[in-house]
Amino acid sequence: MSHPELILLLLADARLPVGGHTQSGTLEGALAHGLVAADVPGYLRTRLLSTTRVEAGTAVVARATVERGRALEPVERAWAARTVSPALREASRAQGHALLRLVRRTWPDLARPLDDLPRPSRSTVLGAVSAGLGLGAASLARLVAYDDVQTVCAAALKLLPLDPVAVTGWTAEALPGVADVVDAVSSAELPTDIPACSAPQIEAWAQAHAASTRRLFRA
Amino acid sequence: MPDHTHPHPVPAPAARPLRLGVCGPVGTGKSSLIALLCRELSGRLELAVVTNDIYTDEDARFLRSAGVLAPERIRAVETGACPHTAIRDDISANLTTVEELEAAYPGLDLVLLESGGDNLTATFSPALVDAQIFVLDVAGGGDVARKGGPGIERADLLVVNKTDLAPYVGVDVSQMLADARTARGDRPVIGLSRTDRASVDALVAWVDDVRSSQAAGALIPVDRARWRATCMLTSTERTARTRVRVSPAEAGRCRVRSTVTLSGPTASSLRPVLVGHDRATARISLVPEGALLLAGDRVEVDVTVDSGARLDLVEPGGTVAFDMRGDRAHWDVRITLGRGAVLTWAGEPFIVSAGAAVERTTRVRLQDQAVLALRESLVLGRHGEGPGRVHQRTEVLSGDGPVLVEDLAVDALTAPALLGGHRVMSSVLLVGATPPADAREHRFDLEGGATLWRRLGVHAHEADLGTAWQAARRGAGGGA
Repeated sequence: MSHPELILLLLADARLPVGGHTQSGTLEGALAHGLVAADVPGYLRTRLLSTTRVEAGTAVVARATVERGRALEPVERAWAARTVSPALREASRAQGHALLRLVRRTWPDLARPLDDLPRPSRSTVLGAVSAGLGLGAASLARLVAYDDVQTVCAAALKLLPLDPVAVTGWTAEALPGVADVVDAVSSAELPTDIPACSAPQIEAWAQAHAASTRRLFRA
Repeated sequence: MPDHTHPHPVPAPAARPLRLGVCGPVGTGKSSLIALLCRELSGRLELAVVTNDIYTDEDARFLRSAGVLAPERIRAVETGACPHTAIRDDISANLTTVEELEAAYPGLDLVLLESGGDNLTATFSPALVDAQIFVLDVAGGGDVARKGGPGIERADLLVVNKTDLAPYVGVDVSQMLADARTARGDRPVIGLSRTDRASVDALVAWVDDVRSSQAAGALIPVDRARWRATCMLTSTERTARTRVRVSPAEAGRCRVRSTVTLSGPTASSLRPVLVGHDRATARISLVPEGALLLAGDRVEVDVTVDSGARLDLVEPGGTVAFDMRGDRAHWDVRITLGRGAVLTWAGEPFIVSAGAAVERTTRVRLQDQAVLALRESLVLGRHGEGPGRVHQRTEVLSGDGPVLVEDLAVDALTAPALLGGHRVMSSVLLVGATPPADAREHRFDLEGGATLWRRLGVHAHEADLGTAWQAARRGAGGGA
């Protein structure tokens, strides 16, 4: 297997064909309900304190579960019970499907623990394959949280007239928050360890966005 | 921590006679009231009486001479210098006498216990009586009802006796009754006179009501006094644990058991009040006793609905968590639903004032085919003020695994982002039942057979989920 740092770069790359460009991290729904460009850094912080921790925690626990040779179903269930919005569950599962397709072609052995799950979430897939790819729990959590920040920022560039350098500045400002997520979740092992931090407003926006027409992003 | 648990397992229907306590100050007419009840009821009920006197058996002799009951059915307990103690702390002499009477007369329906005349703080132990009457009289002064006290405020019935004397002692009876009703909230008050037939009928009807509740196994004796001189607090934390358990009955009405456990005299609690019940369903109101919710309070509510039973919980009003000045309070709810059990809980707003800090947990375990409909409303800050701090954890587990796990920590810093600048978050959760096809707004379909409706608003009416709650109640098999 390749060096874990290279694997991390590969998985974090926006050019990975897993449909990341269809996601805004609910930013589009938030902007539709009154958020403006100046609110985006705060929106990133809110996500890093809430929904992103559920995703990163799920990935870390999926990784630990595969390492122990246990079934992934309770992990997926724990994630679903912590993800109130059906729209967000659906978005994650669509991404999980694309990621799993990539994994099955590229590293077929690593996909096997996922065979029993009908539609695993993106975090479950990412976590399940990461142990076999040599990624540690902290690297995995870092990947999930960083990817969330970049998803929102990249969507911001499409939705708002902004200087891309300013947006990259937001990403850089959010990195300490990414490190906090890593500290909070990387020792999780069991489904009950997954954080359950909710963000009711983001969930409501996600639902409203899913029901809206003429949207640029799926979620 | 001193523990003053009084378990009150309600006996099986008609397992033993109703024990009814009568207390109140000296000379208010306790013995006369008991004589009156004997005259009214002895034609159709088997009665016995236990009297308490300081040195003598004078009250027993008065009752025997009144000829309202066979003399051997009237027994006296001498209480020594402390009539309080004999009905509340060391109830052994009274309990022994009651049990002797019950053994001697197996057909007894009602045992009346008269306390020695005492001051306004006298109350019976719930381990001695099932229900208690506190007696005042107009001749003792028109302002006594207003002064309050544990007996006046919390006895099951307050009697204001000798209303016929009011004109002679210069007391405004209607004012005194109004004062009493103010002090007692929704608990009953009867203005009584032997010469006023309607008032006697009201008293007898009240006794009959209590008897039928007890016969159905649904009377919940609760401690009426929350002062305990022997109790010293060792910390600033006050715990009040309320347990409610409902089980179905083979016949008659379902069994309702409850306990209220207080860590000390200053603990405020939620008192379960049975509003109604039938064979499989109980309806209970959780009534706050004392000021809730203050710094150092720990309120624990433990609700169990056994297989095949149904409980509808309501609350008389919202709860305000007050400014805690750096301290905090806890509010823990644990719900256990047996196979096929149903719980509906119509929660009222939980208001977290500026300066309040509350740790709130809700843990639910449902067995197969159990149904839960739970309404909640979280309000951050009273009108016009900023939010307090609240950390709310919810965990709902069914037989198959977790259904909803949520951890929401909001304060003045995080509330604007997590709740989008809203002050009110209302939720309705339905587990174990399919929601009606309507009520699609604000609805989040969860996995594992659950539905959450959630709505955010700046004001309460903007977060209203009335339609969703009706749908959830219908889903839970109740009327809308």
